[in-house]
Amino acid sequence: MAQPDLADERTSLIRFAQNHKFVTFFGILVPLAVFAVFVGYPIVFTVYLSFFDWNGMAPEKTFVGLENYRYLLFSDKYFYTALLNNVKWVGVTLSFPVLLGLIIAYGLRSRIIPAPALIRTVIFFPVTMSLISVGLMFLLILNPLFGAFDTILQSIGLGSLVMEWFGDYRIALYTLAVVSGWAFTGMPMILYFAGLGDVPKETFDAAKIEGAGHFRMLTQVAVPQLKPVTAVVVLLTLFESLRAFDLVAVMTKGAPFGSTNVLGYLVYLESFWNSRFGYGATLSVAILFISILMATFVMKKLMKGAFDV
Amino acid sequence: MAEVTLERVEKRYGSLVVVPELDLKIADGEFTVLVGPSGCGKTTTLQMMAGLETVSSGRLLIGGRDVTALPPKERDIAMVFQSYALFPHMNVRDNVNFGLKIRRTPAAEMQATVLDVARRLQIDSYLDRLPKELSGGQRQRVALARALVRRPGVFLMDEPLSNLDAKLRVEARSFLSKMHHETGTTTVYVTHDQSEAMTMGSRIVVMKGGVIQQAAPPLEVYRKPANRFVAGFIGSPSMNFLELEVAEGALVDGAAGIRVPLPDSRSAEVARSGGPTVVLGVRPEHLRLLADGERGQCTTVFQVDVVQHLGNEMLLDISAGPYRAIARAGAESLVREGERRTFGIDMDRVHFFHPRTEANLAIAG
Amino acid sequence: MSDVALMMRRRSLIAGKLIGLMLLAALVVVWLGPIILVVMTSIKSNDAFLAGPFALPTEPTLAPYVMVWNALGFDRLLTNSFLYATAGSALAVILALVPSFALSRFDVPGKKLIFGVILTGLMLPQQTVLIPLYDTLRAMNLLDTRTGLIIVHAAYGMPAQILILRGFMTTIPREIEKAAFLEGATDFQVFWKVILPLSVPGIMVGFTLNFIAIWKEFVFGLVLLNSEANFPVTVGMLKLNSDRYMAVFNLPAAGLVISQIPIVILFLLSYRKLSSGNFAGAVKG
Repeated sequence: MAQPDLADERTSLIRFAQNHKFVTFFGILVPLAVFAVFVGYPIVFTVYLSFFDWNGMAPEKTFVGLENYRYLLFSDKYFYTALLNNVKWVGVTLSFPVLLGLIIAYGLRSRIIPAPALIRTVIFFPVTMSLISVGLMFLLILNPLFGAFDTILQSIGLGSLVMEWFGDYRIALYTLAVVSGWAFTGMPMILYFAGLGDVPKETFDAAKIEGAGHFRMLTQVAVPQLKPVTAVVVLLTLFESLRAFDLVAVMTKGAPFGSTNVLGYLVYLESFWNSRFGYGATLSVAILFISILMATFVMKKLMKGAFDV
Repeated sequence: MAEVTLERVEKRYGSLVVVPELDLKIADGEFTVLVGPSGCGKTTTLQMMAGLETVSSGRLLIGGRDVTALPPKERDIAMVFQSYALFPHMNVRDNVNFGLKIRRTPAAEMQATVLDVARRLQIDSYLDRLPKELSGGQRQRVALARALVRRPGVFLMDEPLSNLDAKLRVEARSFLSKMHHETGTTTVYVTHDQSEAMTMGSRIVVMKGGVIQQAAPPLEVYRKPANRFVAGFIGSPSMNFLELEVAEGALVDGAAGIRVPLPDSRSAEVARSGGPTVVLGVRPEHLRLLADGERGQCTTVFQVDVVQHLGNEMLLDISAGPYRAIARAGAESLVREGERRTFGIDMDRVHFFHPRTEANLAIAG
Repeated sequence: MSDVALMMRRRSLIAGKLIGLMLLAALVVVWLGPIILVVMTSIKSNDAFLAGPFALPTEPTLAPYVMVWNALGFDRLLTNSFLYATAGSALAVILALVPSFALSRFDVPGKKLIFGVILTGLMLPQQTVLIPLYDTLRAMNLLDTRTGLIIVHAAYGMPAQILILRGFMTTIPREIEKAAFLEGATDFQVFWKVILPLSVPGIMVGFTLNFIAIWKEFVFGLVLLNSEANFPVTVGMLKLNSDRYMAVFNLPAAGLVISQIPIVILFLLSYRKLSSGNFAGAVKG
């Protein structure tokens, strides 16, 4: 059958609009308009702005062509540090909260861990906390002088593990990432818990009878059947990591030595502190580009049929 | 030797007793069918045998070993589920292999066994396919293959044919029976379909409310049901029950105009009911439509309400007063809806049940 | 049961339970521990705090709460956050209702494109659009206004709401509206009288999730507002990370607790509904 040509598409669109006026207006046009103004236009404007030099206040913007991009790619070491930091952050949040969330969900479903309702509430609660709160909380706990964490380590004889959680530029970023992971774990856990409920119990029964232990049941029976959930979880995690702004803003503000700068925070710094809105826009374009790349990659690999449109 | 023995096995959920103390002995090589309506405890019992449910109290022995506390993998059993429970992301070969791999079977032996079983079940050409690419019947055979390759002592089957359409079901039934003859493995089979139970089992165990109503070979359950429930459950269309008053030499219901003469041979049995009434159980094939002018020994008059032609026979919905019954008649019978006709009752084959305890009065005690 | 089997069974049961309890304890300590610590710290007096992080408060006092409440102006902060979360969420849901209806039931031409657009809206890191947003709001004279922030929150909450609501609406069987259409109902009538009432659970889930998300939100509040009078809780709390407050932990701890109380209340109220798989199911869909 020949491909419907554009004329057909257009007429079917018009026909639909005529037949379903209410739906078309409120259901398609209104949200599209909102979207265009608050999302579409900003993206376009950001790209536009990335070719300029602008301090945000002056009415004139100076066109600089690809200068911003050249600086970004070749001269800005903060960019590469931040980029690397984002990668590290993603590495931490994709492993620890996602894996833990999965294992805890499995432990709850298979009744290895008792009191499922209590555990679910306790672990999910931090997801509802603003990251500012979480950040403040851990500033208190990880404080070198009065923090509870160091006290615990010392009292159980692991005092040698005590480090400058925020002051040491080598580990500060990992501290932040782990804190963010702590708060986030509840999300994959709840999603996997629900997903496991949909996996037919009989596949586990059959595996049990054939002799599988819990590890095999988790890896060979549960995980393959949880692929759609994993896709959602990974996407959510990736986007959370790209947004990793709040914790940096409240806990370290990029210190020490810019070692905790992440891309999102860099945009904020350049635009609103250094008044270099043009370059901030360039950074934003870079982030956008990376997000699209990541999303496409994940969608292709994991989402086959998971998102049925 | 893989006989299965349940000694006073009980299953409780909190204070709710789902299966009260159950005693059952299944001999080695027997094909036993657990049958009953939904919620009768047959699946729970099977799951306890499998180790998927814990036994609240009592003992479970397989092959002489006390397996009550053992996990499923140490019981030397294999199970086929109603939904087949195939691993959707693994191909047929890996599905069938699963248990063998866990037991670290050497690769060569594994391959040979799988191929052999696959050939016998005619799925050898599908070994590389995924379950979703197979039909229902093929999937069922993969589930069977997975159970067969491990050569367990006992097969447990939980309504494996329920998800197949009617025609496939009949084929699969004879296939399973053939398999049982070839392997001689003890099999415990759960179903709610009484015709499946009748055709497949060497012994049927009828259950209701977690209690075994009768455990006997199919024909015995059919001809000598232990109580009214078993009598009504086994056989289709089911047995007719009429609660009638005991009078001199006959069972009557004056208001409905029923008078069933009672032969001397059965009167002692009826007397055991100890009361004014008794429940007469008569199967549709033992209610014979008498042709015009024909005379019979024990007869009663019924009104024919509905005539259903099945092609090879007729089913007649008949009534007398408040009583309803179904009778079988030959395909050539001359009968019209609305007629009042005489039916002969084969009094040698009827059953009498106690009106309250529902026990079969022919069984002493 | 035979003696040996009984003993084996008892032993493995106890071992299993022990492992489970240990895991339970570990999880509770790691996830509940910090919160308990903070709450404990927040009711200590200044001297008690210096005694050490685990010292129990000898005379629990609400003085830190009072101090922080007044110093940061929590009454204003909480009111603002509540306003943003409620209005923003409500607006997002309202905007999302008809699109969800359309996408769940009609064969809308360009469905794939629309979904792509929605997903883009979802995955956008907020920082990438900060500048133009800032500029747009300024042009509309909505910068540093409550209205402006509410609209922005609604616009960015809408895509997630569409996904959630649509997923929920697809579980409503088609036969119901087919019957309505047969009776001659218009699109609007089907929507208003049939689908909407049946979607109430999904709407509540979506609203709650969005409420929490806006309450937690920080970036927009930080950038698009200047006057303290308009700050939500998250932005206002930033002040707590300063020497003045961090000298004695009980103050920031108290601030933390105050900022979380509304969410805890919301959580308690809606937990039944959220945990019954509705939430996860909606997010999955």
